[in-house]
Amino acid sequence: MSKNILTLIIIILFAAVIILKKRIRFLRVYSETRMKEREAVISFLHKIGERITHSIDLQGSLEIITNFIVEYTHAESGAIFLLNEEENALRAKVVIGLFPPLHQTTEHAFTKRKFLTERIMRDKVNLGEGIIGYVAQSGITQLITDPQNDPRVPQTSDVSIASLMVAPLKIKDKVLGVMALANKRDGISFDERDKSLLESLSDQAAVTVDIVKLYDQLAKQQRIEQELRVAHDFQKLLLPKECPSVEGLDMAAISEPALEVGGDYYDFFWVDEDHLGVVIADVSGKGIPGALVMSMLRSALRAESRNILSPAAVLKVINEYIRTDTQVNVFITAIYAIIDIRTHKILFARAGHEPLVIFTDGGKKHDFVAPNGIALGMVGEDIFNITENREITLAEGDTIVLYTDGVVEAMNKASEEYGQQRLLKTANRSLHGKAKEVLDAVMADIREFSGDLPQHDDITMIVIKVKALMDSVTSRAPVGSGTENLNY
Amino acid sequence: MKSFDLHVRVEITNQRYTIIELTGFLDAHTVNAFENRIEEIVSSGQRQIVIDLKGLNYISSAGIGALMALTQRLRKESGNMVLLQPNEKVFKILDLLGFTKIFNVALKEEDVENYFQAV
Repeated sequence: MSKNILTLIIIILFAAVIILKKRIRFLRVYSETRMKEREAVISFLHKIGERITHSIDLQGSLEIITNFIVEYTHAESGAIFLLNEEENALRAKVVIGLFPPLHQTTEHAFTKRKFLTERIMRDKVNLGEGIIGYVAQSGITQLITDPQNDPRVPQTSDVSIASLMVAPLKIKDKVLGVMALANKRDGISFDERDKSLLESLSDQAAVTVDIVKLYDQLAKQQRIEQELRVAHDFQKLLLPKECPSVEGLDMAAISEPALEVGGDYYDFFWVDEDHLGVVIADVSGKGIPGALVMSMLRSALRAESRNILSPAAVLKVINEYIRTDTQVNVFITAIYAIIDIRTHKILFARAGHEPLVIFTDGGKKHDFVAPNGIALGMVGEDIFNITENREITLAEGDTIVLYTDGVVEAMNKASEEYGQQRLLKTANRSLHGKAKEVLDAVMADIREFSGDLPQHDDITMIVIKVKALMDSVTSRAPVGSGTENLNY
Repeated sequence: MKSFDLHVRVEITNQRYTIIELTGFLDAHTVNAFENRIEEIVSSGQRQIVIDLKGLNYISSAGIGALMALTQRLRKESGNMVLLQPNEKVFKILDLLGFTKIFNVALKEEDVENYFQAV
């Protein structure tokens, strides 16, 4: 009896040792696999880290990820697919080696790697479609060792598939894409250990893709913001710091750029010693291209206006400059006026710009003056020729206002426009004051009208008033009465 | 800011010209969609085009630039473009810029025919 018990104990002990040994061997293999995976992930992070410190771009990172995973898993070929949220479908971003086509094909033109890759890059895989679409939709890694019997794997004679692994690139429950590997290099099938390794690497790849994608978006946004800032600064640089002091005239000007759209411009320069040139313009392009066209306009005007007393003639020359140098859909509207500072006679031409407003008789009379004219940079000389000069003469106390469409098109919450009538009314109320007061009154009224809505277009305005004799006596001495251009 | 849309509808009513109906806002945000559609139409061989502006609420400088580019292209290729019934506001903008002198603008549907009989 006791012998039997002893034998039983010995047998149990033996069995325990055998089980334990097996367990130990399993644990060792398991921990080796784990170690290998950890090592793989660390090495992966190292590799991707190296790249990212160089430069962060999505495509480059995807190439490194795919290359690394294909190498580390000893796969013959591999491909990474990202989910395009707009299409709700997957697109291949990187393909390495002879990766099998995604769709059933009867064509045999795909034996060459190049054609095969091209085709995979071109094809779109819908969510749920085939093995790639299945993994993207389910978020579950698939190891397929008998692809011939799996309906999700497209059958093709181009590349023979022995085994296949597909893992999702997911963060929490969000699938960003799929990593797929086909055939192991040594001819044997992928097994559970390979699958586990792929899962670890795919987890890490998903985090990397997510970060790089975010960075990519941010960088794009920053580039746009940067460009707008540069254009803004540039535009500011082109505007005069202050209006010239001219005996008998009281002038004020302002240009307030909107956040995104930039393109308003104004300038003062001497045509000859008795004639002051005044220009207000609105360039249709925004950002840096708009600012460049503006600087072109500025130099062209300053160069071509010297000693030429016909604004229409100067605008004709400028039209040719702009037309040959810019794309067809960039154009400028402008008013160019030449003021005779002795007689206060003004000759001006309007290239598609908002009309010039004139207040006479202390504001009792007003007029919007819009002679024929076409925006600069759109049409050839033959048609542009309709742009004509108009002459007006200002008496003491008369005021003219030049403005851009940002003034009359300023909007309120009810989507109503500020409009010409409100401009007239507001300007009229402060006509007795200085030019600067007229300007300030209109600007304040526009702000009140728009409320807290963001300004959607540049707002630019010039007010020129002929001083009444009484004002004139107390005015400062003239400064820029030479033929030199005013350099602000 | 609100974002505004543009709807483009293409209609071939007779053999002689294609009518493109624009509804909404033709500005910097929608001009690409318009240009892409135009590209399809013109490259399919259409050279006689009527742009129906009855439903167009707003046109910006970018929109006018696109119309200008289309006019110039069609003229080069012996085609023609007519703008049909712009609303008061759109007409005012076109007129201010001097474009009523360049574009063919038909204020009534019947007038459209005149522009194409001459071709």
